[in-house]
Amino acid sequence: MNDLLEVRNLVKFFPIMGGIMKRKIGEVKAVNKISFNIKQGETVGLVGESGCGKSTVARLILRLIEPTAGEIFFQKQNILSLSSSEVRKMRRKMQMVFQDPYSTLEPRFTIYESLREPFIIQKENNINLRKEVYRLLKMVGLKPEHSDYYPYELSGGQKQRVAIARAFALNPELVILDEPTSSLDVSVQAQILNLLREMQSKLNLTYLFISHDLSIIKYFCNRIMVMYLGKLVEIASSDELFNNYFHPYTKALIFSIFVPDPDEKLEIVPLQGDVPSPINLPSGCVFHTRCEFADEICEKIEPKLKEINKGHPVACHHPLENK
Amino acid sequence: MSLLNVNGLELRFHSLDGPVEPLDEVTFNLKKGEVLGLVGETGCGKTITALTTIGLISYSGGEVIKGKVFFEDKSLLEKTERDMQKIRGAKISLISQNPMTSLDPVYRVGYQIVEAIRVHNKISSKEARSLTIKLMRLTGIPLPEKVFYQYPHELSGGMKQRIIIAIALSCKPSLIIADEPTTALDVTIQAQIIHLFTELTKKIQSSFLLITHDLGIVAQMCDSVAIMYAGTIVEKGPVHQIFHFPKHPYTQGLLSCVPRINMKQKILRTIPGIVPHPRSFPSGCRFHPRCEYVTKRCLSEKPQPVKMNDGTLVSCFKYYKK
Amino acid sequence: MDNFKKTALKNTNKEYRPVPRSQRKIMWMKFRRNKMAVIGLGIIFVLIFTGIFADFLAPYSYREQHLELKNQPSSLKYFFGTDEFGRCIFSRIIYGARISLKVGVISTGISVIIGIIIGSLSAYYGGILDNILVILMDVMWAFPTILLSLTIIAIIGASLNSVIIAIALSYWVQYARLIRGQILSLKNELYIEATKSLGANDLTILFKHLLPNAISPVIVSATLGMGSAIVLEATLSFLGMGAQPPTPSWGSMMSNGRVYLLISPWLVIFPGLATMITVLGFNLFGDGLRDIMDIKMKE
Repeated sequence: MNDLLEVRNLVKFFPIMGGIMKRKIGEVKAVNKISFNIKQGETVGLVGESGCGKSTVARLILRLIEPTAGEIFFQKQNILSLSSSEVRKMRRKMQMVFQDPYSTLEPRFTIYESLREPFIIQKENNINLRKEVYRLLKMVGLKPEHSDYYPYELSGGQKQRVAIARAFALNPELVILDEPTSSLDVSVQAQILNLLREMQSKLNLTYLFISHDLSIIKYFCNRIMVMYLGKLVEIASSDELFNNYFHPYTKALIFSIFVPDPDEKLEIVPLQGDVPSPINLPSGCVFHTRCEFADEICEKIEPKLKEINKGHPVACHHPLENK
Repeated sequence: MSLLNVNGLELRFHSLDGPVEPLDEVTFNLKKGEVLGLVGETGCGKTITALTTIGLISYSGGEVIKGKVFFEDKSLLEKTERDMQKIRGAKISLISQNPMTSLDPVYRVGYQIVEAIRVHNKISSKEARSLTIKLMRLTGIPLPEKVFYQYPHELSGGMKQRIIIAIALSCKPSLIIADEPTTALDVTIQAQIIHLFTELTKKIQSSFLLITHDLGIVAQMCDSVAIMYAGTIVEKGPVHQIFHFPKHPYTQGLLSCVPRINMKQKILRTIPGIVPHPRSFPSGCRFHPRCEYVTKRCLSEKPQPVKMNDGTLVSCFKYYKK
Repeated sequence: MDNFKKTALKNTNKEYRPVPRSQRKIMWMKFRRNKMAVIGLGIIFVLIFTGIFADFLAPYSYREQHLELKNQPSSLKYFFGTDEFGRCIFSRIIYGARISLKVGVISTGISVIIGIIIGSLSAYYGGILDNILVILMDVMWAFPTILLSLTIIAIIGASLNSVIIAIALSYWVQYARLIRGQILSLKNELYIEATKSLGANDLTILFKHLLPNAISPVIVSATLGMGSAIVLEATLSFLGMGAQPPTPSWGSMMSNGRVYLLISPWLVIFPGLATMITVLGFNLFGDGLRDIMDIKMKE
């Protein structure tokens, strides 16, 4: 299987301007040297809490924002060196479904106008737009009548279906899903996840699924990357991560999940304190301020991602032993 | 010992397109010392029910057209606004969803807790201050003497929520209503806050009405659960019965469509269709268009609550005795 | 399948759609409730009607002089009386409506276009361009409007057209600032990002998505701005910098009639009233528009 996407040492620092002369007084270190690969056909999950940089990673891959440093290869091509017209062609192959269904559609367009946009923008002139839009609506479980609706007339789940139809219109190869179900109800979430599963096998897609919800990621993804304050701390297959985690933060995330079963109550608080600010990153290991196993080494030296088991790298000086 | 009793509640809202009546005889009971979870998805009516119990529904344009609310055996709906103000904050506290907007940005957080105390208690500001520090410590705020002087924007989401909880606890209320108290928080912070709630329910004597759509939190915190769908309570009972022996088809559907980390799930069983619009509730049982057990009766009649052997009440014709 | 299962399924498929009212219809329904705004709109209609059909409405020509009938008060023949050259004031007021309309619409139109161009480029591209343009806007904003317009007229010469240009160049800043503010906040909206990710270029995003959503406050401001433009024209013409005789601009009518204020006040009163009512009409309408826009924004 080929590498569809390859990310090397990706960095994104956002400058903070301040003072009278509007000079740079600090940086938000959103993405701090991240490297990973995604193979064709995989469903990879990127999990982390707010502010860890996962949404920024998505935007960097799509080149919606420019990286501060690092390389991104899509289908072996360096996308950071593409001209703007080549970027536009690349956009056909890489699409994103955004988090908030309530603001992802142009409020002044009917659903028909929103769904024909990809074809117009990519200059697909020799097709019957109406027919294509109806095909897309059917694909996501909506009806042709819905093409005359305005976004405010649809429910959250229906809006998200339209957003999915829009992203899949031109048969992309890689689809980045940025918290696609976070603002949806549980029953709607299940429907959308099933739809995404169905689409993946029909259209032969590769997914990068971003979420803060580890239960969804475990269900949906076959490989998981855990992110904390701009760094990847652990990468493993779904089963391996849950049965055999090594990083204390992974353990904290797993033990923060409330299972819908009153017999499985959480007795201990997994993690104390708040997430540090990405402006003032802790020295050494970014997690050491909240880690119960941290020592001097953790304070001083930043741990690199090292494979502990095959295909299971961890960035920790003292990976956990007994589970 | 019923602390809060809501009986047959129905509301009416007015709008450009005419009046709408979202609730259908909402009835539930909260005992002293109990944690009741009011569970449902968006638009099921749980928030407006909670607002009605503390008399705030008129501010959202709603009026009560049927039903009663009893708190400590006294009817609340007949009370004047002045009497309700004495109850709010003192006997019944509300913790609302978004800690970002619940705190006044121009006042220091310590002062806001002090203010909450002194509205209902005639004590000196010095006493109120020391009580505030105690409360902040109780809610797990580190270095409360320093945080006292901070402004809301200087605090993280989790800290702000702890301040809100401190305000809610300040007058030792008998009932705390928490409306989606952790939705806006990160996963690990949510765990801290829910853990704090569970500890508090053991330490203080308050009862909780927890409104949420998160079944995991309900399983963690609640003693009993009421499941709401499209303005009706379809099932209610002790938390073990609801989670292990769900009876109403909606409850069963809800529990089977949540991804669980302790189970291998190939596919999530979903409930077909979508939640109905309040202006066009289905006839008869409001859930019938999405129900796999639908019968002729479900289309025309509304099921009444049936008491089951294990203490749950289900509103479904499946459980009517022949 | 059982009959009731079929009915049940039909119920699932039957979806409720709230009465599909377009946004415009909703706005009109709300606007109708505001009586003052409707009056304002009525005044504007009267102004437009008068301007278009001036030739049919005016009983006399605006330049026909009858020196023997000069400075006469209102009569059945001359409803508003005659001016210092014996011209019918009523007819001149009617033709004056055309002037005011012309000035108001054209100058505001040019201002809005300049403002939109500068404001949207500044907001969309940001960076140094934004810094420079914002400084330009601040400087122009600080300049007293009358001084600025007088300076422009002094350079290009006094006439009605130069008044239009001067007003246009004096009033563009508020529209630029409005558009800039709107676009700054809108450009981070998710649907803009989504459109970008589909491959849209900057021009498409600006014209198809950003501007249509940003335009509402500008429309309100432009409506109110037309009133200001008309007043500025009256002022400039009053100072002799605008319409040259015999053009019946209300401002020049007031200017020329000023000398006779104590003996034949109607030379000044009627053009003054006309100006006042026109500006009032625009203000009431603009306020009404702002109220419904606010509600739309709150929703």
